[in-house]
Amino acid sequence: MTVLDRIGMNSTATIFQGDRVESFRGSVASYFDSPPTGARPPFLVIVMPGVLPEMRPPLVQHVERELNRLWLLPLHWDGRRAAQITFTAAQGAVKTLAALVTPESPPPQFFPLPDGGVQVEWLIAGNSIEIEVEADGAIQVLAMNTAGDVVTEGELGQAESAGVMTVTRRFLGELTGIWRSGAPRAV
Amino acid sequence: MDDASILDQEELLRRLASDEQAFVVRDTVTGERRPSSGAFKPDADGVSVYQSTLLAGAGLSPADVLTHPANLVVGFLAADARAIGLGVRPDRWPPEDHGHPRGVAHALLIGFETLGKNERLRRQRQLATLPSMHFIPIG
Repeated sequence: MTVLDRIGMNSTATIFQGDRVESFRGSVASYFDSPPTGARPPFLVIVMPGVLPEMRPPLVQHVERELNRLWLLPLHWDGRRAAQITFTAAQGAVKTLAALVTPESPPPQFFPLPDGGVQVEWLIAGNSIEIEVEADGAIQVLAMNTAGDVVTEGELGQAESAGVMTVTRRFLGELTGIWRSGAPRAV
Repeated sequence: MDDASILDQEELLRRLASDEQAFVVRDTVTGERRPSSGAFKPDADGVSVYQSTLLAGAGLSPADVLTHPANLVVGFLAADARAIGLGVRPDRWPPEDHGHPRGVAHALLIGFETLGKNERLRRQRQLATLPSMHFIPIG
């Protein structure tokens, strides 16, 4: 059984850009395989084949809600030069989370990045995992324990990055235990 | 290049811009809040900050750094930024400030340009957790 199976997402779970959702028992999401050029669709939807939107795991709904919050930020949202987040960045975040989280995982926090990327972050009893997904989809991880030591760091999606993913997943598992117990302890 | 005319004891102000959730990461066990390291991802020229002494000299306050009511402002010492290998240089009247008087106090944190991705991310994390890092109460 893979992590994707355990979260209830299979490998075909996908994020789309959409222009309409009718939510109701037996919800219908209208989304595009290839969005029309020129227009920025008003929302993102994470589709799990065979699963009604409201029946998706809470963590999946949280990710979708948070990505939509960032998706709606206007150009120059930082009062400077920030770009709107890109669909490629949202896709990268979803793919990375699908490979990392379990149903027990604490919900991560999401932040926009000025280049159009997305940062996904856990901070649990002083331990942190930061995942930076750049506008072009490049993914960088930095995990640090409460003592400030680097647990793992590096780029995901590269041939040599399997070890980074493995350590990150294990570390998130340890942080999940801390989060569920609610008591800070050294990792 | 670091500009020594910006003194170590200068408090630098950084606007945490976003929507209502700003760039604040909350520890889900302890409840502590701190800026996200993502708030310090540099633009091509560095990280935008304002010098508090110059703001005060122009009759302005940290509230004048805001571009949206939901923004937050954090402050930290130039010395702390230098201690992690970054520099500070003036960058007065940036075009993005559209002539706002706060432009007189604008500066840039520099030193990210030559860093690899791992090092840059570590530096952002160090910035977010500087000893002097604190939220500035507004209004």
